[in-house]
Amino acid sequence: MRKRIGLLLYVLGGLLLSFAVGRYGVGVAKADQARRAWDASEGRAAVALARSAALHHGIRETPVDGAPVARIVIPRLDLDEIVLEGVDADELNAEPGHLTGSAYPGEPGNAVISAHRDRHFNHLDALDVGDTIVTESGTHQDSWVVVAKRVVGKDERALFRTSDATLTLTTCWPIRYLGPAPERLIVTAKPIRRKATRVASAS
Amino acid sequence: MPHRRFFVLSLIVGLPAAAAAQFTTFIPPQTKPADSVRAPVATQKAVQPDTSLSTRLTNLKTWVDSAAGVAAAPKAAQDSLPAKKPVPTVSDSATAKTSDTATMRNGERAPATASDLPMMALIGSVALGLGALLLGAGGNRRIRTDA
Repeated sequence: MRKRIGLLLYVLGGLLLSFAVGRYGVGVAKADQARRAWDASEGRAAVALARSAALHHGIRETPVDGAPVARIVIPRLDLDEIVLEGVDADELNAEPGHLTGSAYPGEPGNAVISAHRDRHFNHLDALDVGDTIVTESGTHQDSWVVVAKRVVGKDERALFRTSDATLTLTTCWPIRYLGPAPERLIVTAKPIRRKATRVASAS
Repeated sequence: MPHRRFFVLSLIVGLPAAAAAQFTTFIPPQTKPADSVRAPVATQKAVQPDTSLSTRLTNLKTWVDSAAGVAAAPKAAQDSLPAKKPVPTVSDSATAKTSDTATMRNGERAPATASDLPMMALIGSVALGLGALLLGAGGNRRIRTDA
């Protein structure tokens, strides 16, 4: 009897562990794919031009879920990741996700980027007011300074549209917590500098 | 003789009439206007009365509704300008989708970024360890019994 229970636990545990490791593996592979796609200058140029043309003509074009839309660098956290469109499980498993419908980094409005607390934003709590964040969106590179950091309830409506460019990073809170977290950590940043990238200069 | 005179007289009267009939001038019928020209004119003529009739009926309905004390349904505002055609861009259909409604709500909740993977990995590890322990203990006991 004891042997049967042991065998059952062994198999079940092995399956769960394999699934978790497999998901992490898929996430790493997707992240690598996103990085390669971002680095491909042709793709970046096409996306950047399409977006700038669409904005110029007043048409809002949203990349498909999972498409790379920006790059985020946080020197304080030693973080350099590609941001994917969407905040569903598949996107967040691979990279930080851009909340669909929010502005893109550097554009007027509130750009919201979210990530798992056990993955890319596992040290987001170490970010302090005054720290620098850099985003690259194809045509421009923006530098931001953190102006606020707060913890809100998971059901609290804490993300608002803004008229000026704003960058909001969110993750679940507490960071060291197993299961669905009851709160959210929200970091807000404002732009301090903007410069055109190589792609924008070329076009 | 009166018969011959009558015959000559009838010839004098009747022949010019018959001869005139023989030399009638041919007047060709007027050429029809081409259909391509007439069709738009006809369509325009047909449309105009319908439009005015529709307007008159709508107004009549509004008038009847207001007279009966029923609030008239608000009429959808119509653009006076023709619909703007989407401007072609260099977007790649594989990487972009047009979405004019997907804007963030004012007062959106922060997305749930909790992952089940750490919990799953922890439970899996514990179950695996426990299972290995139980299997090992069972094996040791059998060895001891056999001995």
